[in-house]
Amino acid sequence: MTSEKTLIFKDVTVRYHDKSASVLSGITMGVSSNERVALFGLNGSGKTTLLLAATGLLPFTGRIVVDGIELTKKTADTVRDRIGFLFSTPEDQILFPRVIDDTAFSLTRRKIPVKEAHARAHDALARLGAADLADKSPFQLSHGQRQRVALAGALVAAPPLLLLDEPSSALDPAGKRSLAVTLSGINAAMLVATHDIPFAASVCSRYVLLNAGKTHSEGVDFKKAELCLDDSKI
Amino acid sequence: MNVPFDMWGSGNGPALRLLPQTRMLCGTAVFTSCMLLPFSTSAGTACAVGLTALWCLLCGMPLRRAVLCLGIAGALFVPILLMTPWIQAGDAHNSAMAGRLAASGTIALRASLCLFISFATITALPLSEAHTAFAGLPLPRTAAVLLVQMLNQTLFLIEETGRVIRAIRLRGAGRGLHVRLLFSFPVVWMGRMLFRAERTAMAMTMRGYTVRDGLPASVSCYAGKDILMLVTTGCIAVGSLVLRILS
Repeated sequence: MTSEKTLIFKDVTVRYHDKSASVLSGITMGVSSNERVALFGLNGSGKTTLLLAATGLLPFTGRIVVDGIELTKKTADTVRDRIGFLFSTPEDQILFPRVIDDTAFSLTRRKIPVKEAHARAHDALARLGAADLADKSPFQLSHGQRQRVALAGALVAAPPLLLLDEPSSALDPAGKRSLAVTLSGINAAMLVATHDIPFAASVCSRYVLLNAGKTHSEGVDFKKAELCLDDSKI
Repeated sequence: MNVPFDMWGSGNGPALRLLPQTRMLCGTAVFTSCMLLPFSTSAGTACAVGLTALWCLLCGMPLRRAVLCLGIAGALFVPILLMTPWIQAGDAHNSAMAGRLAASGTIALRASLCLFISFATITALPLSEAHTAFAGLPLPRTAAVLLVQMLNQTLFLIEETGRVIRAIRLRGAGRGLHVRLLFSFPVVWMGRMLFRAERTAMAMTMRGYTVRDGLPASVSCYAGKDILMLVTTGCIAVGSLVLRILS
């Protein structure tokens, strides 16, 4: 299980405070390199928490391995360099007043020359149909446009693992289709937390369904997952 | 889209050809001059008004922004005139009331001119260039990064606050002033702000944002026109200080 997996959770339990109830308990799952996995679950089932735990931003017990590196306090920065993360509210992660600077940030902080970084950022924006936003301020953009910008920032450094929290939530149908095509063409392991089952089915090869902080089921039949979520059979 | 965001960079004057940091520094110099020029003489007052008008023209402040600025200045500073009877005026040559009126008028006029200068500078500075401007200022890097983030996050908070206010209005607080809703505003707002702050801190950690990387790596060098403008506005500020001392 360990060798070709880009992301491994082994018996992962997350508590926000030492004595509080666990938000996630005993999660064991993996994502292979270039595999795209959807993470389903009702509101509050722990999808976002699981994504954040994989970055070392939340305290956890158990083992998390990203791209062959075991996540600890010492390795957290190295691990984060290997992850592209999309928050569900893009405003939270846009840190610069110009789109191109924000998108290129992952590259410029790695000392890639500004000209090259900007060219690659332009490419990333263009792949998401947002090239025309490069010189704009994030404050001039709609929520959906900000989501594309934030996603471009996550994709630009070509990380081996992408953790995407509700990537399609603010996109129009055409935007969703375009995003699905873009994500399908990316060579990276992906864990996509979403409620949008048709979108997930068009991007991901299998799903994991969480319920109350535990793995409820896994599979490749997305209709089954839809039935589970629709009828609240979980 | 609303006014706080539309205002930035809406000008189209010749000042926009200068570097962003030059525009910011020149705006600061003009603002300082306006604060220093003595209003006790009509020449000093005329200089301040002329300087403000010239800066607004250089920034190409749109007319509707100027009208908005005039409205805000009226709302904020005209009430100062109502305080005239209680103002202490130290000018022995004028009658008591005339001296007080001159003092309150000076405060209102100076504040209005400073507001115009600030608005004009904002109209000459697109938001997308704000961080370049801060990066180019002769400030310690930490201070520049902090200023960039303060600006960035403040604008997101303004947007968020606007959403909360609209939601409260929609739920009936606008009509009949539902006291419970109004009291709930600070609680709701603070909760959201804390949540946002937590998420932004997470994103900064996640994206590896540090003081070292928080500003653009390269900043454009000052050109001749930038230096000329900086020297001119700097001289005006120094001249204003001299006039202030002499008056």
